[in-house]
Amino acid sequence: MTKRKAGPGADLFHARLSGQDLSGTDLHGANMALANLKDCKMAEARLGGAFLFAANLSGADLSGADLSNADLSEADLFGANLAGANLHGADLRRANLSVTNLRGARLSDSNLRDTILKGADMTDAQLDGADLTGAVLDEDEASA
Amino acid sequence: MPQMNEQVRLLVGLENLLVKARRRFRECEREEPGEQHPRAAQYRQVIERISDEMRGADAATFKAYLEYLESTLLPRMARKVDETLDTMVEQAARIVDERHHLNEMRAEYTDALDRIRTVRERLGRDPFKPQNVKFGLGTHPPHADRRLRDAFDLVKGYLRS
Repeated sequence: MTKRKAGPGADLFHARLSGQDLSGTDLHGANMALANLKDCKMAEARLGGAFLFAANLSGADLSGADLSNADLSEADLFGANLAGANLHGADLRRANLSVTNLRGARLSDSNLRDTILKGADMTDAQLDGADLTGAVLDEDEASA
Repeated sequence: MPQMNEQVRLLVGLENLLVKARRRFRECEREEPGEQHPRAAQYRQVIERISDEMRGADAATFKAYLEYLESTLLPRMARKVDETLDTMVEQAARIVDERHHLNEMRAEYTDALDRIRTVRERLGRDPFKPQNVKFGLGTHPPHADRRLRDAFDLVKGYLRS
């Protein structure tokens, strides 16, 4: 694989970065579509406006990360830690957010259409203005 | 069913991603037509890059991939074409303010049809020989095309009235 540099606006399309430590890295506006970021440490990373379409972020630690206005549509975030993350205005349509930790996450004005949120912990998450049309929640919550 | 080796599996994965990227591109175009959507160009690029990666496969792998598609995906897609068409005909009778939805379905229908055509032509097969491509309700594309035209004529008439 060609070595590609991580940083603001970086081209990390389809990059294989699973398990890497990218904590606190500035990747705002980066193209990370289709990237494999499984189990990456990305706490406090700056990913505002990043393009993460269909990225594999399962098991990643994104606690406190800035993902505002990022495109995470079709991304796999199964089991990811998004506690305290800023996802304001993020596009998460059809993303898999099963078993994610979204405690205290800011999801205001985000697009959560058709997302899978089974088993997600959304305690204290801010959801004002979020579009949850077609989102799949826990059966208990859906029937409550 | 043809053997699915690692390379074929990779191509199948890319194909799935291509479908998702095309859908997102269409959504962008619907939200802000003419590639004015801030993400539209990025999705176009994703489509091009995935297509390039798929073209990079060697001839034998690509043939195995096409055969895999023919045996597994095409029957499913053929059913989808038929189901989409049924929904469109149903929608056409009701539609007045839902033109966007209809256009989206038309795009899905055309996509599915194009992919079936492409795969079968690359394999040197008659794209729509009825005994090769079975459709859920016993229809086939010439019939489907006619139904599609009927549906749109109905909508056009409805919108004019």
